[in-house]
Amino acid sequence: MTEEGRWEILPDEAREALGRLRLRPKVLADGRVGGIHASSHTGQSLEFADLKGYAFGDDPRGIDWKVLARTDKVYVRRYQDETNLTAWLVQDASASMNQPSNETKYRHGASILAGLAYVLLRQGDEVGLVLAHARHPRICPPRGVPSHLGELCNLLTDARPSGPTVLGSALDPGVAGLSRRGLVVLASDMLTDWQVAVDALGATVARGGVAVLLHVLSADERTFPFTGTMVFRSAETGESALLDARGLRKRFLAALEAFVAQVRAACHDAGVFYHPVDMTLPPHVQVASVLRAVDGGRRRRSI
Amino acid sequence: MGFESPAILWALPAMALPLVLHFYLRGRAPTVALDALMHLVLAGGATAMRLRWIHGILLAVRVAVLAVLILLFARPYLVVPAVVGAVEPISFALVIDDSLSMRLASGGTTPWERAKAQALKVLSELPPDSEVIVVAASQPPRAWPGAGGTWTAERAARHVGRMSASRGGTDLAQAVRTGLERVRAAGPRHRRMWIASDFRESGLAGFPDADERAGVTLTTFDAAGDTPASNRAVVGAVAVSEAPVPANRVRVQVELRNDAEAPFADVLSVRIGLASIARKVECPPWRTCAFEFVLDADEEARFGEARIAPDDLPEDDVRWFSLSSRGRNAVLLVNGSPRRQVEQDETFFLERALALRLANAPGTSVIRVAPTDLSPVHLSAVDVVVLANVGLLRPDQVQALVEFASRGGGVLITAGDTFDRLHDPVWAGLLPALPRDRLGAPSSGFGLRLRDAKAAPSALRAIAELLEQARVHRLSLLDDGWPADARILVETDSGAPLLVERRLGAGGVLVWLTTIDRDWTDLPLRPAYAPFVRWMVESLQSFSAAGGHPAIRVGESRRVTLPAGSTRAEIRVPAGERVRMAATGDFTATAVPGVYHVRFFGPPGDMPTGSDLFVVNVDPAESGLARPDTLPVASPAEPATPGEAPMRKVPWHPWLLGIALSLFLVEAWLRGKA
Repeated sequence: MTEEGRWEILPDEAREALGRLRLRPKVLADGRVGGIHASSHTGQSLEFADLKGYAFGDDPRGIDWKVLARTDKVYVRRYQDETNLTAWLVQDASASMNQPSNETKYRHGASILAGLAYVLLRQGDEVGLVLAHARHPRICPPRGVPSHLGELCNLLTDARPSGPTVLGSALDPGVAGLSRRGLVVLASDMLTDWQVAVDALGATVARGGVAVLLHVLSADERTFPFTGTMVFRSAETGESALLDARGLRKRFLAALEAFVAQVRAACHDAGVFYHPVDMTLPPHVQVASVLRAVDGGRRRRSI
Repeated sequence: MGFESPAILWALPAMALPLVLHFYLRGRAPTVALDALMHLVLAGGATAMRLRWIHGILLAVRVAVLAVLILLFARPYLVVPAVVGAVEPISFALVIDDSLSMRLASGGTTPWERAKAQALKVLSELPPDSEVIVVAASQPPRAWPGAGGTWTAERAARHVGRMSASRGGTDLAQAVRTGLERVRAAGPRHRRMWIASDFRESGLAGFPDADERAGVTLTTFDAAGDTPASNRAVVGAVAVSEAPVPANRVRVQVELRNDAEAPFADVLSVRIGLASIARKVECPPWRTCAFEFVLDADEEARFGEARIAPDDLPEDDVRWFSLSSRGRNAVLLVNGSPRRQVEQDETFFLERALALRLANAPGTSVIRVAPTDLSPVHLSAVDVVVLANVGLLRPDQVQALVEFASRGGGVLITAGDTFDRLHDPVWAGLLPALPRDRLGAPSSGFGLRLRDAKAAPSALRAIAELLEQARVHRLSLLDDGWPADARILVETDSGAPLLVERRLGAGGVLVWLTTIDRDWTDLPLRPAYAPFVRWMVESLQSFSAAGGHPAIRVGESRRVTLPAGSTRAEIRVPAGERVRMAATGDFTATAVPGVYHVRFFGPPGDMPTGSDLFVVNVDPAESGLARPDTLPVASPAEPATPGEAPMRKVPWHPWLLGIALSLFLVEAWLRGKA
């Protein structure tokens, strides 16, 4: 992979635009090193958290002697620990993501995920990648070094979307090491048994993490601009049908609207951030939008 | 089925256009990979299968639409026979058989009653304003209304309601022809003919074939019914004189027909005047049996009857016969060239031949008279007159001979030296043509042969070989232009006529164009001579022997000739009515079988100048129950000739238009579903 090819999905202007952005989801991270995110553990740090009545087993070094002097009661001072965040980026690499041919959903989703990785790595978080491909699944373990971005971009660029969608196995915590508390971002068109994917994301939320679904739908899918008699083909199943597009448009749009509404409702119920991706906007704009959504995630779960 | 614009059918292959377009567009249509569509809309086999079905049906509907449109522009129509009961008025001929056989009761009703009821029903079902002709099929066929007009169905029904079966014979063929002519002349409408008859075999001879029936659709109604019928009838009764002496002895030959499953064993009675004889006779089933009765009848009796007990058809159980020539059996010889030497006399050989008498055969009395003495008195006493080489007769004598022959007498004219003098046109009443010339034969002479062996009388055929042994050395020739009632029986081997027969009224004339003696032929010396002469005389006698045979049948006319001095005739019919005739003419009121007495009157106030009688019998063919294996017209209906019969075009346009619109709607609905 050449240097230019690698950064095609994350061009300079995108990196420049994303350079000042931070992602700080309001969750307790399970990081292994220090970072900017509140840790799920209290420990040695400068930021006071609260007082707690002494109990057997507490470190006597934490006894607040001033409180003891004033109240004649033994309290222990606790401090908020800060650590880094582990983020898993899951990219749907099925054949349906390879549409439309000029600007594929895969490429658009990959650009957004690369942008997110760029932001996360810059703030010291660890970023891992799962390519959900039926025959050649790829898992890149999370790392926090800046050079890891290139590796992620290489993986995203090299992948050739094909085959059926296999989101269920890609989001399996046992397979991908997603059991740790952190951030999971899935970029997919959800043209599969999407309930399995939403359930898996919901499990992440249940473990105290943050899950984001980037629902990537092309402009063709959202507007169905076709007219006349056309052969519609399914890249995943190979089925095709000669259909009158004009007569089909109304029914298709109604089905799509219902489909989106169902996925959005399921995500809402599972506490998953649902972010519909508008492919007419540049990917880095979509990244900023996702960051804003996740930052405000305590107040609302969907955008 | 046909098309008003069949050329448009060439566009029928265009109905494959949707199929071509489908496969063409399938190959040329842009392909779009859109998993969302397949996942969201076409997910699941049921939807895909349903769409495939809809597309298949849509394709079929589009093909059907094109086919229907092409057919629509071709303007198809269905050709069907114009049926009774159709809405359009038709020209309709109702032919109903009113002959005697329709009176034969079976199953409680007669065929006439069944035919009449069905005819009224058919007439009531005719479309309004139809033109109707009614034809009765008994002899002679009659058509109503006269003068070539037509009736409405109601008027025809009133007429049929008043009709009754006659006692005449059947002439269904002529009746159908009459109906065909009238219905064709009626107008350019659909033409139909309805025939009701019992379809006895005797009445179907010469039935019009399909070509003659072209343009008219025939329908038949078999009025015979399903009940088996039976009939016994006296179908023949002829009186033959036993001998000149005793003159009052009469031999009566009676023919009995038994058309029944059971044998006939009943009394057959014959009555002549006060004399009668009855005898129990037997006749096997489905046979015709002959019986002979000998009676000593009253001298004054002039007719008789043969009778059996009445059955289901009583009209044919009695038959009358005339005795007007009874007992004469006499030949009048008029010698035109007498000789002193007996063996050279013109009639020498003839008399010898007539004198021969076979065993059990009645003898013949011969009366000789000179040509100048010939008078009606002589004619009234004989059956046959022989003019042997007679060259001159007065016109009144010739006219008397014509009347004699017309009333049933026979005249034999033989040629000779004086025969060429018969140039008076009055002879044209007797001869087929006047003499023209003589024809001499080569030294070996001409041979003799029958002109048409198949059509010749059987007795003449029997002596044909003997005749061929004779030679003719000279013969007379007749002018051309023979009447239709003349025919050549014997000719020379060169084709010249020798023996010519001409029918005159109830009698006939035989002309032998060579001599009856040995002057011009050696026939008198041949074995064929005697039987040939006897055959000629007997065949001429047969006219008068039957009382003016052929005895007229019901419906036939009888020529009534006023004798000299009579100014009118009065005919008393069997029912007792009297019909007057002021001049010689045909008497046609013979609807009732029986004896018709004729009296001739002179000027008013005078006594009757003479009398005659004739008998009218039913047609013996009406007594037969035989039916053909197949009816002449396929029942119930047969188009006269396919493509030529008057057919009705039923257009398909409205139906096709409706179908096309329906298909358009279905196509639009399916397109919305696809």
